[in-house]
Amino acid sequence: MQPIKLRYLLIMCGLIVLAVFPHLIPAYYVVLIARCLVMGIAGLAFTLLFAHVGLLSFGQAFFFGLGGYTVALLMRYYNIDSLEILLLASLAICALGGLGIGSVCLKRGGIYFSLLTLGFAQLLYSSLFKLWNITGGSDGLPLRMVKILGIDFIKDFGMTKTSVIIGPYYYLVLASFVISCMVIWRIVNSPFGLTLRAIRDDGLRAELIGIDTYRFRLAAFLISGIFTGLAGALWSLLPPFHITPTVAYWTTSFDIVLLSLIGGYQYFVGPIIGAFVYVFLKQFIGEVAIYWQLVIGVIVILIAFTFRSGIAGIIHRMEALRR
Amino acid sequence: MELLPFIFGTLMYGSLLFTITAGFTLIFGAMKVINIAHPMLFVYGGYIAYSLCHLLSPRTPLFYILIFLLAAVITGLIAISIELGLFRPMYKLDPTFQVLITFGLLISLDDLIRIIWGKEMKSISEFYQLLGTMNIAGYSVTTYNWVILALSVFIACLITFLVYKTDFGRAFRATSYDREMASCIGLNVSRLFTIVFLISGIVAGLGGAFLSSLIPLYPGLVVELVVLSFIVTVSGGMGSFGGALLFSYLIGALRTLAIWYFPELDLFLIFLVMVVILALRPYGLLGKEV
Repeated sequence: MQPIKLRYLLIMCGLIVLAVFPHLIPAYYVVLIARCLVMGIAGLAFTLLFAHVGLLSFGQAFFFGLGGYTVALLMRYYNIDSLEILLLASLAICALGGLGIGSVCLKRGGIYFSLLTLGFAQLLYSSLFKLWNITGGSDGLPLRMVKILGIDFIKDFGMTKTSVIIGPYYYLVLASFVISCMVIWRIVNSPFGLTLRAIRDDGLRAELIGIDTYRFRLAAFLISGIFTGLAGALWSLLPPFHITPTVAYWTTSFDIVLLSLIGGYQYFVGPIIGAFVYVFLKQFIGEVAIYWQLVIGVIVILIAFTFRSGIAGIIHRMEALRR
Repeated sequence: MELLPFIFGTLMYGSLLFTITAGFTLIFGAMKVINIAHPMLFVYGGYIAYSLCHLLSPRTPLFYILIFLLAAVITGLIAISIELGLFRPMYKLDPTFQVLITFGLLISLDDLIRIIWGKEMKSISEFYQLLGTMNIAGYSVTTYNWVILALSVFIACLITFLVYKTDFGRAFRATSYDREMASCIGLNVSRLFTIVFLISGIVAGLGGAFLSSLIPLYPGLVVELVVLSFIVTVSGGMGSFGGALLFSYLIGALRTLAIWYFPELDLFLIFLVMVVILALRPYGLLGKEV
C-alpha cells in the first residue's frame, strides 16, 4: 500500500535530517533540537498513559526530576562519570519510585490519579528544596561532562566542549530518542497495548473477562515513568550542566501534558510534533511575552473544547481532504 | 510545645483548608466536577481584600471586616462569571477534559495575579497589628486569632445551615443524589449550580480575605493549596462535609506540630496520613462508595 511506504519514507527523511543537522546549524540550535527530542521522549511516555490507558498524569515531573537528580547526585557524591551506569541507575530508581507512588495513585482512577500524581511530584519538589544540604536547595547541583562508553571525549580526543555537545552528546540523545520511539511503538502495538486500550474503554468489562486491571495499569505507569526518567536524565546532561528543583515542579509536568495535547495525543507522532513546536515556541515567545503562562492556559482550554486532535489531527484531516 | 500556639496554629491552617474544601465539596456534590481552580478563589479573595484595604485605608476593625465581606462578595461574583462562561459548556464533556479545562483556568488566573499585583509577596498586616495582643492566663495572645476562631465557627455553621436546613440545601442534596431525577421533579438544576458556585466563591473569598493577614500571598501559592485541599478532600471522603471539616483541622493540627518539631517533614507527614487512610479505606474516612 502506498501510504505506508510514504510513512517510512518520511521517517527516513526525518532521521537523515536530524542526523546531519548538527553540522549545518549553530550549536545553540543543536542543543535546542536535543531538548525537543528529550521532551519528545517525555511526551511519548505521557501519551502512553493518557491515550492508551486513559490516565491523565499531572505528576510526570516526579519521574523527570527523579531521573535528573539521580544522575546529579550520583555524579556529585559517588564521582560516577560513566554514562551507562548513570542512566541505568536513574532508570532503576524511577522504576522503584514508580512502583511506590503507582501503588498509591492507582488505587482510584480518574481525577484521583491526576491529583495524587501532582501531589507526589510536589512532594519531591519540596523535598529537593528543603534537603538543601544534600541537593543544594534552590541553587541546585552542577554536573560534569560524562564519559560515553568509557571514552572521555575532551581528554582522549582533544575535542572542545562545544564539539562534544554537538557531536557525541547530540547523537546520544538522538539514539535514545529513536530507541524510545521504537520500544514505545512496539508496546503500543502489542497484545499488551491492546489490553491497555480495553481497560481504558471499559475497566469493569476488562476486569470481568479476567484482566487484572490494576497490574496492567501499574505496568503502564512504570513504563511511562521509566521513559520519563530517561528524559529527565538526558535533560540534566545537556547544557547548561546544572540542575535545579524546577525540573520536578508542576510546570514541568504541565509542559509535558501540553506538548502532547498540542501535537495531538491520539496520534503516535503527536507528542513528537508537539515537542518540537512547544520547545521552540517556548524558547522564542517566552522571551518576548512575559505572560506566557496565561497564553498557555487559554490554549489548553481551547484545545480541550475544540481541537482535541491537535496538530497531528489537523495534518491527518488535510491529508484526507486531498485524497 | 505549648498549648495555645498549637491551638491557634491548628485553627489557622484548619480554617484555611476548610474554606477551600467546603467549596470543593459543594461543587463536587452538586455537579460531580472537580474544580481544580477552586483554591484560586481563596487567593483572589485575599488579593482583592489587599487592594481594597490599600484603596480605602480603613482605621477601625469594623471597617476592615466590612471590607473583607465586600472582598468575599466580589470573589463570589467572579465565581459566578466563571461558572456561566466556562463551566456551563463544560458539563457534558469527558471528566478528563474537565480536569484539563479547570487546570488551564488555574494557570491563566495564576499568571493574571502576576499581571495585576506583581510577583512580590503581599499581606495585610495593618489589621493584625491594629488588634494587638491580649493577656490570657499569663500568655500574650494575638487578638487576631480570636477573629480566625470566630470565622471558622461561622463558616462551619453557615455551611451546615445552608445544606441541611434550607430549601437550597434540600435541592442541593437531591441534585447530588440524582441529578436527572432532581430536574425531572422540576428543580432548576443549572440555577442551583450557579448558586453553588456563588456560595463556594463567597466562602473561599472570606477565607482568603481574613487569612491573608497571616499567610502572605504570592503567585504559585495556589498549587500548594490545590495539593493540600485535595488531600483533605480525598482523605475525608469526596462529597462529605463532615470529612472535609474533620480533616481540614486534623491536617491543620498535624502541620502545626510538624512545623514546630521537624519542619522538613511537614508535607511528608500529611502524605503519610493520606496514604494510610487510602490503603485502609479507599473512599476516604467518611466517604461512601460511589
